[in-house]
Amino acid sequence: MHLTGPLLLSAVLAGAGVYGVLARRNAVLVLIGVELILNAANLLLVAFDAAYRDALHSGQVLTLFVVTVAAAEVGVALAVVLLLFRRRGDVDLRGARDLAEARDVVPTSEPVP
Amino acid sequence: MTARDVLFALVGVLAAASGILAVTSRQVVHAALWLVTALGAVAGCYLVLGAEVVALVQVLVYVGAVVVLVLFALMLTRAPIGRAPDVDAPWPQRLAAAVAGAATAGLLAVVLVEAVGGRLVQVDPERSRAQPLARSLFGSWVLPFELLSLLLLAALVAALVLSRDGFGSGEEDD
Amino acid sequence: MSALVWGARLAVVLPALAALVGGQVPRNARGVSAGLGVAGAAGALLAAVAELAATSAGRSATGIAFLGPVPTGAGRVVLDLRADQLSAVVAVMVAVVALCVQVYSVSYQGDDPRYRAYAWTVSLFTAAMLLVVQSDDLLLLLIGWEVMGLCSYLLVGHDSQREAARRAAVKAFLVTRVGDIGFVLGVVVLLAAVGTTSISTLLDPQTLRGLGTGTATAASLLLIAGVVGKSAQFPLHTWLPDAMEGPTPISALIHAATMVAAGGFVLARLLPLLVEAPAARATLAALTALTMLGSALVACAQSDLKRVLAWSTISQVAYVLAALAIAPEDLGAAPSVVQLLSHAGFKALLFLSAGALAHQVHTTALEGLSGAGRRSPWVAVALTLGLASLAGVPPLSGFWSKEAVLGAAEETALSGGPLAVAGWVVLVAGLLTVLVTAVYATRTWLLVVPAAAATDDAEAELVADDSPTRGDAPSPHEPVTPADRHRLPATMAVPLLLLVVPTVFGGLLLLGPVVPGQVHLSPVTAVLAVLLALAGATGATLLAQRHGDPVAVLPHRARAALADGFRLDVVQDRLVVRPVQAVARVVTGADRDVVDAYVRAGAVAARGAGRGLRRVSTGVATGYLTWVVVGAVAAAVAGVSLR
Repeated sequence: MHLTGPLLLSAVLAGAGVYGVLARRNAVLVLIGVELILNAANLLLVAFDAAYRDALHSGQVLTLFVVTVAAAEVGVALAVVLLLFRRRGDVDLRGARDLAEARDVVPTSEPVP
Repeated sequence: MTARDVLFALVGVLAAASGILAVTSRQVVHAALWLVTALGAVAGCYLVLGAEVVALVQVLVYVGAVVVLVLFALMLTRAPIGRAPDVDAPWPQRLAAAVAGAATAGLLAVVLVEAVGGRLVQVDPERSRAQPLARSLFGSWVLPFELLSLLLLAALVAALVLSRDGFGSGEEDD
Repeated sequence: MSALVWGARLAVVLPALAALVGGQVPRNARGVSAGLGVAGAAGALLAAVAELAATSAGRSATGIAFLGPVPTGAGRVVLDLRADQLSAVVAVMVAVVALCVQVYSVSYQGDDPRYRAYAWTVSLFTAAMLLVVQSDDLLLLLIGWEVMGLCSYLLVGHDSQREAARRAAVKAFLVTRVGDIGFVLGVVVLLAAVGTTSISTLLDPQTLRGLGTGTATAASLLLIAGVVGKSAQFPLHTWLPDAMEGPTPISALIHAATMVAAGGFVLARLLPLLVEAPAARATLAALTALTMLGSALVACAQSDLKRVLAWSTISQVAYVLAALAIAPEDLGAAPSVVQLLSHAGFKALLFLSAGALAHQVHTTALEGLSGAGRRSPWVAVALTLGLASLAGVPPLSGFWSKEAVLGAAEETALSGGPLAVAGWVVLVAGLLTVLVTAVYATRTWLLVVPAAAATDDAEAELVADDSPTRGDAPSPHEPVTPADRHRLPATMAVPLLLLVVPTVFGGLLLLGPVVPGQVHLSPVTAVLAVLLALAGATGATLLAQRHGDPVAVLPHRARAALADGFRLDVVQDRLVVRPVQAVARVVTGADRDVVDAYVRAGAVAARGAGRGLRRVSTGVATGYLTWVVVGAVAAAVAGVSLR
């Protein structure tokens, strides 16, 4: 079969995953996006393994590893999300603005010399 | 255009469609369920490519565990049932995200197709069977394998700590 | 030869050195400043006398190396001096007057806190004028010309605490500047036409023949523009009356004897060029005829002694320039130079006498000075002699010089050549001016020397004047105790005495070969002039006896307009000053709102950009991530597509 199929599908899944990470407000839905990206990578790995058929089965083995890591990551991430929920009462990322600068910094407008 | 191509196309379209739906759906639970479909379809892709063990693991771990975790999290965080307006970011950010996503997809597609697009895949089902794969996995790849188990342990401990009652609500001493 | 050469050089260098060193002495070392000033002027006088002695023996020199050649791409410019009869005699005059002024100033400016600046500026002025007189190169002449303008500005505004003085200085500078533009353009035209700025080359008959009437006329008219400015002729005369805000010795130096005469000197020097441009000469004749009569009329209505002398200067300098306009070929520049020297003498005498009188009563208003004959009789005598010379009373110098000019005008008028009409104009205007000059000279004498006869309308008329300068003493004075009220310091008396000599005996100038060229005196004109002067004096005396002030017979509005110089100041203000100020406002507005706006816009834009960029940091993690991904993808795309 042609290799282009898996390649294109992987690209689409990656794009969708990026959109899902960046465009969502609900923290859990962000994780869905992350999963899609990981799967896109996995698909590429498997496809190349089938195409190049190396002796070490590197593609498939690495795919298994990625799956494992993804599972671990989801566990920790969801624990963080639940912590966020316990703190704030919702998992809306718009409310979790601790990264922004402090509100009490008022910009002064200096006179132009 | 072999049979595998057609098959892959069918499964691939399913995967792509459900993936896109998963990230664009306004209903939270639907998004999670569309994720299930997407991950299952990807498992199907693996099967078409001849990687049976990987497909199995995909279904077991991703569909069976990860998605269940996600659903649990949704329930525990009082996910709204039905269409919710505040699930998506405001439109400027969505626009930027769409651009980013499209750009990423385009970039990957072009680069990959340009590089190796012409190649033909000769699927050899024999090499992907459990035994040869296991020989590689526990032979050449044993060290990363062990490290991964450590990683899993660490993740487990971390998740437990984070989930403890009173964690992060200001208590410094343990 | 070397006396000639070194005389020329030292005449310029010594006062310049005095100025240079004078600027360095400590501010309160008054004696040193005064000494340097006097020494500089005295040195210049010695050098000029040596030069005169050498040229009277028939020698002359051109191309005296002074500052060397100037490396330009556009023609030969060598900054040399020349010493001939004309330059020698004028240099002596300048040095004499400068020396008198320096000596006089020692006590007149006794109270001046800025005496050091005063002394060295006068020295610098002297050096600049001597440079103009002795220059053999148009560029060098221009340098001296401009430095004179600068020194005039500094000295008129010397009493810088007073706003009137500052404004007068600026006005003098700006109005003469307008003329100077023409002067510079004239020099440029000549440089372009001849290929060099050397005056010797320019005056060579061959060069002049090759110039062509068009170029000669253009250059002459432009040079005349500069002369009109510096010599305060119509229409650039408005600065001279206001320049009386400067200290009186300065008025004597600059506005009687040297700067206003510099224009006349330059035209006299360049007379061969002028001869090639009859149109320019006709224009000059018309301008000067108008000026001499107009300013004499204005002088009749002034209420301040210095202003009378100022308008009188304008009128008499017009004679100098008119003589150049209509000088017949056999006479050359002689009539003009004679009038220039004679005027220098008696005008300086008049100014210094005015200063001596004002020194005692702290005012220069005519009404304030009244009774001077009794207060300071010797100074009154000096004043009388000066006024008589001004009016043209024989055998004083003023009579002879005026006759020289009128004689030249008559000769041109009767000759029937191309300038005959101009000659008639100058002759008629000159004779009428003699009449009016006698009127205002007599009026001035009557108002100052005898004690005021208190008639009711006389007092009322004298009080109600609207001349801009009041009788405020133009320079600070030492407090006058009753004891020395009538005694003049020696340093003020000696210069007066010295200047009486040329005023009375200046007629002898015409006898010796001191002045280059010839003088032709016409008996008819002489008699006519004397009769007119007598008529003017008599008329003024009769009117004065009846009304106190002869001008009182005029209706009030006419008298006010006359005193105001025919309101030409107002015309100048409307025509020139206001439009220029409007343009200046537009320019500053453009600079502030257009050019500066770009600079300020930079700050505004930066702040706006900052405010815009701050919107990025919303605090939402996925927002930040978006930017990161967009950036990374953009970089990747660029990396992939751009090879």
